[in-house]
Amino acid sequence: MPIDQMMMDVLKEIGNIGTGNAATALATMLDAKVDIGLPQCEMVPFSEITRGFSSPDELVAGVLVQLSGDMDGFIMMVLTMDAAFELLTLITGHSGPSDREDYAAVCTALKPIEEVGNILVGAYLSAISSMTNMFIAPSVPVLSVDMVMAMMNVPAVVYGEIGESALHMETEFHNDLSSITGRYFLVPTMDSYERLMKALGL
Amino acid sequence: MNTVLIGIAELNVVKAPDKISTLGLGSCCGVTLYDKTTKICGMVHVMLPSATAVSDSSNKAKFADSGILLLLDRVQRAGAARPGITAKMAGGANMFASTTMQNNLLRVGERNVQACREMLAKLRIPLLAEDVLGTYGRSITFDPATGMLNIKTVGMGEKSI
Repeated sequence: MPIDQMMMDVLKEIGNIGTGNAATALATMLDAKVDIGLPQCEMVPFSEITRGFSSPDELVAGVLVQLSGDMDGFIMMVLTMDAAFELLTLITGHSGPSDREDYAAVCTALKPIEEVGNILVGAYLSAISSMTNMFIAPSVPVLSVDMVMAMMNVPAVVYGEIGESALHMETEFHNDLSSITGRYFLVPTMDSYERLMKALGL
Repeated sequence: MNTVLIGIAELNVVKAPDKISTLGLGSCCGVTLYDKTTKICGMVHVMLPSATAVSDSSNKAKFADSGILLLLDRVQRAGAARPGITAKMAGGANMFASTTMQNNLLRVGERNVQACREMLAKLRIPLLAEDVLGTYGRSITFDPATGMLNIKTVGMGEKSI
């Protein structure tokens, strides 16, 4: 079924509530105040899915959490390398390897970002369960450091079955010290969309 | 000499000395069809295995089956001779392979590779070389002057096949 305006509004609402929860959770984790911008949501055509990055092969950090239960699919977060390292510094107090060209060292150093993925997913899932009675189980989060277009293949493939664009959410987290923009893809499988709409009485 | 860039679910055809390229193949597959006599090469960046399995198949370049078929038509129209056409391909990775739960969505890379191989076999186009699967992204460039497919990765080096 096509992603219509009503579904987009639902996902935006989940995004809003989820981001609010996430800010609280992150503030607790970092023991610091975290402000959060409202998520910008829009359907982005595949041809533009890496806009905002310098090129489709720009290196990024992606964290994926799979969902199962009443809703299947996944949530994927994508950060630029600068944002990922800023986040790492915020979480651990360390700034990562001095040589950012050392791919293996970078992958190892950024592992703590997976924990942020966990928190964000937890935040979105509690937003969903506050709006429905759906039981959704998240997987362990997984980090990938690779080209942004390759990462974007993941949500594109799900949306590709029904159209030419993907629902894209972008949020800015900031505190006094830094500002981090993260992009999120909340990607239920197509039949999960139907279940979600039904659970919301729509 | 230009390098023509194609994006996801797109295709194009070039002739030597131009080259053709696509960046950031994850689970997607990049397939090239090449005629070394005329030095014509087409490339398609496919996302999904089959146009028949989905509700919206209007963009033929999106799918392995319809995309390769469309590409074959395009390279022939550009002057490539059917009997001399050969193929190479790259991509079909699983970008988040170490998850504890694996499902059909994340296995789409393998299914794309399978679908491409099947369509090429069906069309009796020899698949001369491939660099597929794995857990990493690839950027590829085909040079019709040499017939070589160059593949760049972030952490696994660079090679030509």
